[in-house]
Amino acid sequence: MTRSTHWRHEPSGPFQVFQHELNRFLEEYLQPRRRGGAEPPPTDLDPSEWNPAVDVYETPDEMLVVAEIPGVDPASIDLAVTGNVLSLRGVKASGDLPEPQLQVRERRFGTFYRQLMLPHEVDFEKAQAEAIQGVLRIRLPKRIAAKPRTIPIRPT
Amino acid sequence: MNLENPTIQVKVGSEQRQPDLSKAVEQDFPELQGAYTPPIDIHEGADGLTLEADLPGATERNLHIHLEDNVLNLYAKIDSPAPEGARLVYEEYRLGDYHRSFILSDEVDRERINAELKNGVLRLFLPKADRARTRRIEIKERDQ
Repeated sequence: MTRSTHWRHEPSGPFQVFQHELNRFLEEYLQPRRRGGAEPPPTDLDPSEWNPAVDVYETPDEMLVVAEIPGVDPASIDLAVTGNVLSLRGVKASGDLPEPQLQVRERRFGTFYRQLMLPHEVDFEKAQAEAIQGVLRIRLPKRIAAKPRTIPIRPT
Repeated sequence: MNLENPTIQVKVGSEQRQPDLSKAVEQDFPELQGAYTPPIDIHEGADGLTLEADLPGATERNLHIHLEDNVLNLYAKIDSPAPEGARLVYEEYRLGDYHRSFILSDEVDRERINAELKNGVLRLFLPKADRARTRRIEIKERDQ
């Protein structure tokens, strides 16, 4: 009875290799410029022409989600929390100028729906969001960490 | 000459002539050398050009618009949205300044340039100067 438990972790069988490759591919596809962090990257549930780019920062007191939303009416953004998933929905509407007059078109428009998984230590009740000049900042304070306690053992 | 308007300042020309404006811009803002090129739309109408640019983070204070001769320069220095010392956990875009330069083919009526900044989008209206605009000449009937 030697090494009988190791096979589970070895990607030796063809299915395991395939599974491993698939995971790696998905990981690379979903995390092109990942910089550490334990949470999975934001998902894009509405792959339209345009989606806001998201950066996430961490300070000792809070998590800060920053999204670039130029041309998005802040009032039209739907920001919701389910469990520890933050979802961001809205639309970047194109301008009101008539199309035939367009000479250069580089800007992109469309609806967006992105989801971000955040660490459980975040207190969603105290979340605050503000949109200033096309930049959305969502501040998520961390919960006060439970203080270490000693449990006395009562003598019998 | 400075043209004031309700939202942002458009600087047209300058008292001391600069031989090369882009060089002058880089002297004033050396960090703009690695600046991003913001996406733009240009609409041409009978009265002039309307330019729209996505500039998230640009404000009335940090956005500069220069028009000298027929060269239009836009630049903005963007502040970090995060407090100092914050650790970047996940990144999809890099914070950076914006810079874009255009050569305008038509002469612009500098007195009527209009710029507004809303939700991170700049809309700049550059009216054609009378010389470049097709003019309708009214014929007045003389009373007899």
